[in-house]
Amino acid sequence: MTTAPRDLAELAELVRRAAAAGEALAPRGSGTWWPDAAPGARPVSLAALDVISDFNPADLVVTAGAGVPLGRLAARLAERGVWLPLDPPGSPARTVGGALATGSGGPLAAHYGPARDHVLGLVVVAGDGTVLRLGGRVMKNVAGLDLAKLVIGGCGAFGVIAEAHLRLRARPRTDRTAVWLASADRAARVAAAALAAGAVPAALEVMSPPLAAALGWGGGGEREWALAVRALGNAAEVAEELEMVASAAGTPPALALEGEAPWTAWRETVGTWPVVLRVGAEPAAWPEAVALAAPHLGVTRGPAAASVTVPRGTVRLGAARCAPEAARVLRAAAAARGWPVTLERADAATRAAVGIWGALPPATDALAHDLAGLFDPAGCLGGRGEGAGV
Amino acid sequence: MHLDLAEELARIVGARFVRTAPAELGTFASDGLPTLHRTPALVVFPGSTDEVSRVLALLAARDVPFVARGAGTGLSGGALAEAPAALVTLTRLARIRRVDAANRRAVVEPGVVNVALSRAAAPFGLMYAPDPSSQTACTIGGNVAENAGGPHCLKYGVTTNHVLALEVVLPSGAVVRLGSPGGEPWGPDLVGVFVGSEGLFGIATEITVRLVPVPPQVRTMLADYTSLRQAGEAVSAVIAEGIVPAALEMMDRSAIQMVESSVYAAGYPADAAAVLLVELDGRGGAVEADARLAQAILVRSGARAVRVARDAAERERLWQGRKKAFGAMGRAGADLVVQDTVVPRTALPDVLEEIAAIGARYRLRVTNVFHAGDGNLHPNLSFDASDPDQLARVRAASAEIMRTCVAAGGTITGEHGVGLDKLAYLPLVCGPDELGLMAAVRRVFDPGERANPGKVLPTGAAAAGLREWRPWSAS
Repeated sequence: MTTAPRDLAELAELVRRAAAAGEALAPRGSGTWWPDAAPGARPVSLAALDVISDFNPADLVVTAGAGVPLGRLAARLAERGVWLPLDPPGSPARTVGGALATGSGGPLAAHYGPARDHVLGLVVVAGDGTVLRLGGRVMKNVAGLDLAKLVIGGCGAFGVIAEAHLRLRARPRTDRTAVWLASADRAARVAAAALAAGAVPAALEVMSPPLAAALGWGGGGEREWALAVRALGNAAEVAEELEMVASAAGTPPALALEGEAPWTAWRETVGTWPVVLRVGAEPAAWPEAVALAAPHLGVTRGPAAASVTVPRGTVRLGAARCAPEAARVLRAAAAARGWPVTLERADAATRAAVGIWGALPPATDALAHDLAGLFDPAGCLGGRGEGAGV
Repeated sequence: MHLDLAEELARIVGARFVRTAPAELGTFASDGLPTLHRTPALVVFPGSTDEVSRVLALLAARDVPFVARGAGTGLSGGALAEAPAALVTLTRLARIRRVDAANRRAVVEPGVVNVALSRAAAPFGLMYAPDPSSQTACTIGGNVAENAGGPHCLKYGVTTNHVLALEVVLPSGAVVRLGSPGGEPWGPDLVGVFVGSEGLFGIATEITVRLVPVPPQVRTMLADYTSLRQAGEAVSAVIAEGIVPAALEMMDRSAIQMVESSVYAAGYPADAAAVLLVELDGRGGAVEADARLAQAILVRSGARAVRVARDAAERERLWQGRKKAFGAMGRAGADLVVQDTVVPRTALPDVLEEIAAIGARYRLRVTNVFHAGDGNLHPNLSFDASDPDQLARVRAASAEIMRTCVAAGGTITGEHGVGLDKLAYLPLVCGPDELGLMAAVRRVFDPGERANPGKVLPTGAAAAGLREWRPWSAS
């Protein structure tokens, strides 16, 4: 039985009662990213919190309810010539609240930063039903501690996001993408050379052959990794950016694409991976991170499904399933290099068995545990159980 | 008691790095805020993470509060320590440990001066983007504590957008590493909550930051207006056109006059009501196209003239007026309070008029020099701190300015922090639930509340109305 509060007051009341009754809740957005709720937790649909309550294009700020689908938000923003450069994998039905709760960014994080860099403020319901107003609606704000950072990417353990104040940008006039196909080694060399030459593309994403093939860009062979570079801005800026990468590559791109469509396809395709792991490596270390992870993802032949946001060192890996022991071994190997491995997407059983974050370094774990305990004193948001596993 | 403590600290850091003489303590009694002064019990200068850890462990064992300090350029009183608190000054931790060009990042100690990092990165074609006006003196550690901004943060983002990982010594003396070298959090975003925590959570002893490429072309232009309102409206017009200037700064008539009558004269038109300093950066063609567009918008919005710097020397001169404005303001009065509020960009024209009215009402000279593109105002109040009546008027006017900005949908500080200065005003933007939670979060890092005591969060009677949050272990 899913409960669907119609507004902030109802949501707060629902959480308050659940906390008092010792009941566990599983807040949900569209239900398209995490496919199911933890067993024993009552699903709470936030779909009705779908109001874009305050939209000031001239100030480049919008206030959107957690249940607003990203696709609908984008369309509304586009009508007024502005946009939100947040492009997490998944369908356009994915919601503002879901993307922020999981801290999911996409290829545009290369230039515009991860999800947290777009948030000016949040309205959050803490685990005891208290409504918290964190941050504000202005571009800069250092009034008090920045608690919203804990909620974004907190996977629900630090409260239910009800509403977000988001920073917007003017819509770029030109949007072009160039794709090169190459071996992993060559893709790495070209990406490194472009960055060394001073490239600042909106996105610089390397995709492994299975993903490149699924996007229709290659045949899936070992030498068909895709290096996709997206440039945004005025016409001259876009031309200069792509020329710079072309000169680093030494060859013209295999494909020259216009507009958002290829990236919408990227989001949809990565959104079909049942399990998504995110490794946080150094930008130049991505080939090693991909190689390190592949054997643990049930890939026996050829490269794993992977997409790398090179300037951030974010390595996303797709798999059909993820065994707890394999994840433990991978995490230990990654931790030795200083890389966290986050389970960005999986079904509830896998989330429970593998853990979203796995074992944190002990000192960090103590801090995270105590902080989550403040935001969710009764543990009804899953902080103590499945949820974020803290 | 403190002699004994000083001796023990000396055993950790060496005798010459512990100061207790009143004359020496006096030099640490102020930061960039002229209205408040506090004298620490002693000053200690640790020279390594290990020394910071042992110093904090000793202070914990003795239950002595402490305040971390970098260059002391802060503008909210955040780096002031009052006996029995010890001042832990981090200027010896000033090594740039690594500039990692391939990964566009650097690993630095907290005492590294902001501009020194950009200098070290320059040979690799990289820079550290956040550039507070005090960047030739302020330290990266202080920037992290305050989540510092600066003129170029309009395009590049503030400090929190550039910090990837931290090594932190907690008030207990324990050393923890937060974040990862790629910037991906380990679990919850503890780096994000640490940045801007104003010294309440401990001391960052190693900071990993992102670097960005130095833009190959820079175009700087100065637009002058006969109306403050028109200048304010032009700010929104430029941004609305899709141009992302590297910086978009405004100075009002008072600021122009002060600069032009000082040794820092930048050639601003002395009869203008306001000037906008617009800087565009990037590659040649892109900057060229945006510059043409920006110039047209500025003219259309009523600029009397738009002057484009022809070379680096002229650009330097245009910026000189902005960067030295605070020095120039020293002429108008013995002391200067640099206010720091933020409003929605479109509210600038109205709010600037209201601030002018507040200044007139309290018979104070208000000078506006600020980051207009972000809506981040710096109304500066010139006064003589030795005159109690003037001091009282400055405090009352500051309070009214903050209430005006909050009423316009803004906030009480955009980049200077709460510190001591804004303690009383934080409740204007944070309720008792939020303030209580902030206090509880602080106790997770610092159960004894010994790190930067009395700053940011209400204490004593003011804290009485705050909601008390208890962790599940205690409930």
